[in-house]
Amino acid sequence: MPEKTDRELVEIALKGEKNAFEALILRYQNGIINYIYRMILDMDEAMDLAQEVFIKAYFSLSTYNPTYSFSTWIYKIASNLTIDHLRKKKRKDFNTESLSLRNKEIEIADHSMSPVKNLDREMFYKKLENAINMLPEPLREFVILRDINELSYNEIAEIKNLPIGTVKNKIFRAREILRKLLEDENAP
Amino acid sequence: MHLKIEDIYELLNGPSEKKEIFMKHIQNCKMCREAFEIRKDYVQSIRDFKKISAPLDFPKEILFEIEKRKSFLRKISILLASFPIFISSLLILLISISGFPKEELSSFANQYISFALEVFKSMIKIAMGINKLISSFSEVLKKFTSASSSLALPIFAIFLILTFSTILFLILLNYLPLKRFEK
Repeated sequence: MPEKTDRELVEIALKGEKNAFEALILRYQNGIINYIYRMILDMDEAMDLAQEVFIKAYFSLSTYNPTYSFSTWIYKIASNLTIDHLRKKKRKDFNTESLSLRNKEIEIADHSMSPVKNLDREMFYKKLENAINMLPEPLREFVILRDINELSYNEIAEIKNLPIGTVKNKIFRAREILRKLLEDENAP
Repeated sequence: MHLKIEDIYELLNGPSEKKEIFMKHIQNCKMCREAFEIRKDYVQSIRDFKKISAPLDFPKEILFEIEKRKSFLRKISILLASFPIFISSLLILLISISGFPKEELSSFANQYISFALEVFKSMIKIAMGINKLISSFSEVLKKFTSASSSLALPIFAIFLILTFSTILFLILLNYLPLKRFEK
């Protein structure tokens, strides 16, 4: 039997069928948890917030517009709740300017070695995790959505209500900051 | 002319119009090829980054929480239907209180409590004063009634009521909360 699409599941869930909503949860739970955890860096809070995302989605399911994809809609809810949560926590922001990458063209004449090859995988992941955590929130969100959650540029642009060019630029900047952070840690 | 980093990332993002031109350049330019390899390796490692899995009972917990909230909402709607005026005034009170910042709310509450205590203390003082006044008047009344005509009692009662209401009016003027909330 072919798997039901998100839209079909939403329609069935709107008729009061719990199993359909459960199927939607199963489909998106890992993505949402990963996104929230990487943003707020607290596992317990991430679980609670992820739960809140699905509860909010359930109670506003009737407002979902089926012309847009369900994934974009659910990530939009997650993004709004996460940003609200972070605002409440008033986490200290990382100063992007200190990395001198803002508004500065990065030249190709960058002979740096690959950070991945220089490090042991496990150690590399630890450093990568630290580097992701060090990214300023607005940029971190883009890297998480693109590289960890593997959403397309179009989907991210829809979630964040931004032009696709801006999204590309932000992801490019975030990746380069990450790479620089990893290189700095790896420098002799 | 070398490729820009943006172009390399564009190449890594999948199909694009310039892909062929970029690929051709990369094949011929060692520097760009190295830069491309670094970014490719790097993007791949982020994608391979270990991902967190949801606990097995995660969907069940959500459905349970949804049911809990649904039943709570049902109870609220039943209450609202049964006592509409009481619930709506309670809601208005809650909403207006929730509008206060916490510090202001606590200072408002403190101010309110101290004001209430002050009123309570003065009420006791007033009651004691009234008690004294009544006892002294009752003595006068005894003397007066024993000596006098049938008109004396109602006249004295009216005098007593007028005196008490004036005293009460003056006290209320002094203690009404208006002054305190003018600030």
